[in-house]
Amino acid sequence: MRTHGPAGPTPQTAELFGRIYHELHAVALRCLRGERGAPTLQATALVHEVFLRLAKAPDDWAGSTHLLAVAARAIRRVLINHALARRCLRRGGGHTPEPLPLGGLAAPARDAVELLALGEALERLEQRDPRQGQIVELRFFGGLTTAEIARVLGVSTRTVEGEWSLARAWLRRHMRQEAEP
Amino acid sequence: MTEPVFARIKAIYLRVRAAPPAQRAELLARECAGSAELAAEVESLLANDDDGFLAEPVLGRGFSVATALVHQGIDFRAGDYRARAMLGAGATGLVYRAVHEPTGREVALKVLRPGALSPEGARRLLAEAALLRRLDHPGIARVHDAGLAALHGETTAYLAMELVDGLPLAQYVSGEACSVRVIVHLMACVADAVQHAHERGVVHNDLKPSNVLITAKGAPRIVDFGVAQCTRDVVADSAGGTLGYLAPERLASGAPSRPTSDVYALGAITYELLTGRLPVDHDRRPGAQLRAALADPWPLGALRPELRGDLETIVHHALDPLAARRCPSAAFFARDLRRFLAGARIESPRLAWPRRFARFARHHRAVVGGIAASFAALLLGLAGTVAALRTAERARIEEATARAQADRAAARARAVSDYLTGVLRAATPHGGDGNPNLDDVLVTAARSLPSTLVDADGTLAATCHALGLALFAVGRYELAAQQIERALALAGPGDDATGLQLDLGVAMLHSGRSEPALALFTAISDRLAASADAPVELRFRCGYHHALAAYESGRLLLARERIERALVLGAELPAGNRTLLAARGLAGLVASALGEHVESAGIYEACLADAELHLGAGHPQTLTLANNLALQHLQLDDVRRCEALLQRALDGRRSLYGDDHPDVLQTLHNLATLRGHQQRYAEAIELQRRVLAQRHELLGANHPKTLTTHHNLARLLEQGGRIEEAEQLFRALLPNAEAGLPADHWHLALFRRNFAHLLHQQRRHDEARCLLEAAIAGLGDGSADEHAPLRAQLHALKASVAAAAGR
Repeated sequence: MRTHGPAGPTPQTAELFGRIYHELHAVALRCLRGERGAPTLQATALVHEVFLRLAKAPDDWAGSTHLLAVAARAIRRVLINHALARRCLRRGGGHTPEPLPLGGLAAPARDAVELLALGEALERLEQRDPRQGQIVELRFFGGLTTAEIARVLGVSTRTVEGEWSLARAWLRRHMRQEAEP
Repeated sequence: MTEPVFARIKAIYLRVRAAPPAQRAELLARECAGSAELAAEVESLLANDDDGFLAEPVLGRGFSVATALVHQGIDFRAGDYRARAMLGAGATGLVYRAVHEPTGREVALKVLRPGALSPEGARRLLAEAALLRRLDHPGIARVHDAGLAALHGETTAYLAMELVDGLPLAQYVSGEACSVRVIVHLMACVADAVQHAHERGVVHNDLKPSNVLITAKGAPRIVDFGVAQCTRDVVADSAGGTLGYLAPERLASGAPSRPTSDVYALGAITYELLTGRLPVDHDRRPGAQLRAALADPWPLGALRPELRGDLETIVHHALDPLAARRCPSAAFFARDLRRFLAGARIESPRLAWPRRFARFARHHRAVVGGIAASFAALLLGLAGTVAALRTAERARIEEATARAQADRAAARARAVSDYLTGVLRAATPHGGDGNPNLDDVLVTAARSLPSTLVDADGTLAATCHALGLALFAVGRYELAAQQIERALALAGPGDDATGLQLDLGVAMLHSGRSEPALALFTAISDRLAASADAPVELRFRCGYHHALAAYESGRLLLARERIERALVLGAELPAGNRTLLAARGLAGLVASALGEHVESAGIYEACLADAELHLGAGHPQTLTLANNLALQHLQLDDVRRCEALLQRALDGRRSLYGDDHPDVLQTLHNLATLRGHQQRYAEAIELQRRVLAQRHELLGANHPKTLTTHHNLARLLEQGGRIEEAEQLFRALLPNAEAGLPADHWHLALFRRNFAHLLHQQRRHDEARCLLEAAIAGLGDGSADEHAPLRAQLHALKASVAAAAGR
């Protein structure tokens, strides 16, 4: 997978991402499969679980801002993969053992199809403008504010605002075009 | 569209968007300078500029990874410190590489988890910090500062410590493949540092390899001094591993922390670095932890023979479970380690061999006691012979002959003594590198017997007998029978042949050969009945064993008749006589087998009370009675009482014999029966499976007890709905039972009946009918005997099978 960011990809980041991703995935699976009637997974709880485990890792982390980017990416990957799994299931393809009701994960139920479309569009966007891709990732998947994103990326708030607006417009248009037959 | 174009679009889009809406069209036209395509592209993007789109994060409004990170304390500020990166996590908190913002100094910032500290603990930590700042030793990471910080709405404490660039001790030792001498040197340095703190009134309380870092120069530096003291219960908080370094007195609640607890940890760390394992294997159950800690660790020299001697002595001195006997200070420990390195005389007291043996014996109290008594009697007898020959006999026999005889006797005594000493020495953990236990030792002893002793004057017979009794005591019944049989064959006219025969019969009985045992007891009984002068006690003992053999052979009415007769003889014996108590217990067992559970429980209750009075609550026989009484309560549906008795029997027997003794297995077998009765089938099956595996190994597949477990497991599987597995087990059971039990044993009929019942349920009527016919034929067509109820059941089941088959 590609890694973008101001500091550029490093092997440590890739490894850290891999670990966060696997942790998140495992936690999400467990929570989503959880007992019927149990409260739906709280997003924060999911992330908590992950970091609780990560906190045990002895590595010297590159720094917390970097960590935000890695975490946001991990969340994106987990959600998109769940949506993919759901689609496979609906099409009857593959042997995905359990349906993964994404709606239970997010507070406002996101349609898996919509999420997949976003995922595809975001990949296209990243090819054109990696920084815009990362802003979307931090904002939409990581839930960061513009100011926080500015700090992570080391740019001004205004830059982030402008880029976010363009990225959002581009994605929206792309997704609408794709949705039309 | 190529990338430069996209970059241009972006620039135009941003400029146009920044302009007031009214001026946008004009600005766009100007920016695009005649490129309609470019203008259209930017325009379509602007048309899609929708604040509502992707406005809310995918994980919901209010979600933020940043918040999540702060939740976990990864990105925050505490006092003048700003955390930069995480260094590690422990039970009590997280450690960061942090910066002291006013000075830019880097520190290790330990932030206690919110909740790890009570308000009282926080106060103590701040007070402690004042003490900690006074510690100034190259082996201790300096404490710069301490304070309270708000972390996500909760107050927690932080400690700013010297940032030590180093490897954790264990990692360093394994990475560098440190020699024993290097490890000893490092530990002496660590002990120096600990001593420095102790002298200033600071106890570490959570010393472990991860709290000792080795710097680039190879010098150890201890971190986290005094922290554990202030945090809540280390025992409850620590996640795996830490317990191993905790002194036993710290495990017991409420014990104040003392320097000697740190000394224990120093011993434990040294032990682990040298052997790769912790001295005490901690179970996570609270009771087990303390028990394990109070047991002595496996000797260092048993794990690494080259470490026997002084180093072993020093480490075990530090690891003494009793704080009062333990190495008194870190300085003492350090000094002795350095003496060891210098080849000088150490001060730690050497563990005497008898104490080592005593440690071993503690685990096998009853057994060792029995063996020691047998051996002591044997040795005394021999010594007596020597003495007699040297004095009284000297007058009558020519001196040279006398001396020769005396020397022979003395040589014999020495041979026996050497042999026995060898056996006992082998029984101590120092005897081998593996995990020798007493029964292995005895088995070895039995094998080596002919080569080490020359027979003369019944020495060998007596030794065989003693060894046989010892083997019996550890549950090796078949080997015991072999030894006693040898003793019997070697016995001279002066020996107590009847006593030997009785012992042989008992050993045979326990090894599952109830038929020959019954024949033997019948013969002895007949002989004793014919001799007028046989002592009452001997006749009573014989009667009891005779009844037991009859019971085990399934002859319940014979057993009842014999036990009643024996008890008449027993009335003359004191109430605390062990055989008498056993005989009364047998009467209860027979009553139970005959379906008289109320009577049986009554007999047992009275018997148990007497046993407790005369033998004590922990005596093996008392435990046997508790075990058997439990079964009666199960029959009477008093599950609570049953469980309590079984637990008592189990705990007692385990502490006497360890885990794999036949008696322990018997209690576990009964416990499985209880679980089945409670319909806790999964548990019952699991337990019974374990018992079956062990009985299989210990007693063989055809032993009556193995068969019973085998059968009960099959029943449990059936009751638990696992019909196929049950059928397989039943199918395997029958040939074993036919080989191991007399053809007319009622157990065999019962096994067949229950298998037939299962098949009947599966509508396999033909197979069921065949089995029932075999069962009825096997049981014999006696008239009104003890098996009448079972016979009636068999006929009834056969009738319903026939009816079902006819439909």
